[in-house]
Amino acid sequence: MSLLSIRDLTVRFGRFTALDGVSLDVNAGEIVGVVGESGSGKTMTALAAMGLLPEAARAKGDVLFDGRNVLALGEDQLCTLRGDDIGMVFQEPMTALNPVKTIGDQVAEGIIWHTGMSRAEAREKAMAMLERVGLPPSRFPLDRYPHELSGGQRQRVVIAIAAALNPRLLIADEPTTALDVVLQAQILDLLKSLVRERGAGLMLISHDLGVVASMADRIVILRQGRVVEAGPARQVLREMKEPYTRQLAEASTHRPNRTPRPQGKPLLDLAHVTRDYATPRTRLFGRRGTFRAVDDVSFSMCEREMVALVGRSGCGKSTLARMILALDRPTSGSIRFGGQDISALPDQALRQARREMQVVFQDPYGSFNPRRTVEWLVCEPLHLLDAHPSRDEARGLAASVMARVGLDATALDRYPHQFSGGQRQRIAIARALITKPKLIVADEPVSALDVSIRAQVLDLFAELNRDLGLACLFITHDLHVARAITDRVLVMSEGRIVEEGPTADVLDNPRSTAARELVAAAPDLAKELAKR
Amino acid sequence: MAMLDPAREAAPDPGVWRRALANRSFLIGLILSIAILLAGALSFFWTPYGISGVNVAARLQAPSAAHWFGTDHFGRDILSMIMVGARNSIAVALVAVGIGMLAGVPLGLWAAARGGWLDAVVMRGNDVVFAFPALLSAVMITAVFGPGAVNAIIAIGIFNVPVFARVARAGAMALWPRDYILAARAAGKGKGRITREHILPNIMHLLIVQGTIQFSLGILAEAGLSYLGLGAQPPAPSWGRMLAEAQTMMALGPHTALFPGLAIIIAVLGFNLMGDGLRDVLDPKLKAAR
Repeated sequence: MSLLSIRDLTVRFGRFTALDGVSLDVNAGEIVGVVGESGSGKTMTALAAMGLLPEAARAKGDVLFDGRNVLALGEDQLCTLRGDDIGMVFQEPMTALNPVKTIGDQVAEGIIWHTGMSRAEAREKAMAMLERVGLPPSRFPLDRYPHELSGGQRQRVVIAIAAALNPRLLIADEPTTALDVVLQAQILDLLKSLVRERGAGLMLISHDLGVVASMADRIVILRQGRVVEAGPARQVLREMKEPYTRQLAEASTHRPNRTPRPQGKPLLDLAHVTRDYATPRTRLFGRRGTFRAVDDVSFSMCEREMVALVGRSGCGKSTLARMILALDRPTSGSIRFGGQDISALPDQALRQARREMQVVFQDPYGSFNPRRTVEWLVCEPLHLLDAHPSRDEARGLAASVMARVGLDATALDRYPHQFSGGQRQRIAIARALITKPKLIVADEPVSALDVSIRAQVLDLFAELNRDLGLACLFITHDLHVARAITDRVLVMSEGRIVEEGPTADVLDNPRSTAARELVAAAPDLAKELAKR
Repeated sequence: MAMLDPAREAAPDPGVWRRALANRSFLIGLILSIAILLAGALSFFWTPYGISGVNVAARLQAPSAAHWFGTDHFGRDILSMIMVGARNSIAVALVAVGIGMLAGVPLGLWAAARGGWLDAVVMRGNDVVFAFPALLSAVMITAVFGPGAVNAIIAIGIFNVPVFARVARAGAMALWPRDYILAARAAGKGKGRITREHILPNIMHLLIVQGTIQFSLGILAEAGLSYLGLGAQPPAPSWGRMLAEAQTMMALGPHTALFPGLAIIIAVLGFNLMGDGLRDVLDPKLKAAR
């Protein structure tokens, strides 16, 4: 008898079917990977297992945890189940923790609630648990607050809370999506060792087959609320019986077809760029400290070149990008773009440079003003042209860039929220293209997208490079993106560029510690497939 | 997991009126507010009786078919006086909110856009104004410059400035780090233009909600000032002074205090409920948090 057994579960919201006859099992001591793209129903499955389905949901079928039907239990019984027998790890460690409570209290809270232990005993236990997840009390006292920790450390706290009571089942919903690859590898290791040593079951939910491949004993693949394929990981990965599974695997290892372009004239040249930030005073009349986000960075890029800037989160790559875009000024050093030192120019004199250098951001949700039409948004950079085009000309230009990124001109009259994440990223690219730039700086342009959409967007960038001779600087922590479409890679660590070279050379034979760490941590489906 | 989608959260929403009317507190507030506004508007053309004529013979009559709300100690019709008083209250509150918005919103937006020491100076200045109890300072202002409707408006208006400055600044500060603002900067737009095109439309809902609430507070403040004799001067009727005059007459004609009091309650409650309802409809995040 399995620990968690979902049988023929159908969940409807009004006329919309979120889950359609889903069946899956998680046994004690087993890691089950649930893989699917957004809208596939993977989170709904997790919520059903916890008895946390939204009120508007109508559920049919059985969710049996240890023989008891979760869907039929009352809220009181569910409360004793959650946390005690089932622990949950969420995607976003920032919002999963209460910002005004110390980490010790948050871990102890559940222990007190479920076992009725005294506060002192519970804190004792919380301390042991935090030590186990890699936050030893000597360095991370219980009275720390979540904001004093980094993203990876916060996720460790969330895991400590979920695992504090030795739950028999852990559910982790995209536990590493918000983290960089090195932290991802550490957190996955931690989850694996936790469930292995306690013989608990783990339901690991992810959109990335690569992440699941290295972890799971069994894999369940969901698509549009249905189970497409389920079975032992070995078998699923090796045979790839279902076309959709193959499609997912291909998308995850996708590399656009491209031949390196002959390099053009030098385009961008950074010399000894440094950026210091003042840190807040620790005492009332104390000195302000400085934090060096970017430290003596020099590199150059040519026209039509595709370059990746890789590094872990917090290494200074986004600060560097903002300085290249002249949205922030270096403390010292110079940034030359098209022969002009843009780091010293006043805003008014930057129009020429801004026209030839545009930006695409990571978050396709946050990069548009929600109250403007797509036409208005795509045309915004036309402001930079010396001769302002008429309304009709602007619309014509907008329609042509939209066609370039594969969207219909009718999209211009709609609002950003009417588009999916992938479409919005295309609109962001269209906006960047409208001034016919020579360089696009893309800050994690695909890391918020599903794997299949990611593949399409990477193809689009490759196409733009080929057809328009566009140079791109890709800022990413995902080595796969770097490998897929760039010729040269710069590895950044703690504000410095520690390694530089042709992409394949650096990624196959990393020399610096930072690069080696990144390469070792990157989930690699191809390697995983070869291993099995 | 339904991703938190900032694009959806503030997108233009054709269903906003339908949802607003389905919101009970907005609907009740709207009905009460419209009743007060209509009463004030109607008084320009017609009132049941004149309000300047003294008719001692008909003084202190209880509510009847002829005088729905009764008469006061000069024999004037209370319903007529409340109707004319409504327009006085509305005018004072409206102009006071206008002063607050016109001065406060640009100040807050400016502070948010510039940041640094300028932000600190503007906001500490706001704190100073905030630190004075508003009504007490309004009493001081009218005492110095003389009582009257205009001075009451200015006094109440001044205390609306920091309220709007704060709301505008807080809203703007939350928007400045957004990617679409960075994209606009990369498109070469200056801070003033970004504020006009991106920030202001996205904090409008905050300002509308705050506006309705300040409006109701303005009505209350006007009533308080005229109760003390510092607002509109006789013979212009005002709710606050009607209450003050009724005070000595409570034993003989309690209705003389009851109806102006009810008018104040209905106006304040109406605009407050409307503001609350609007907040729920326009800012669903806040509702979910409650």
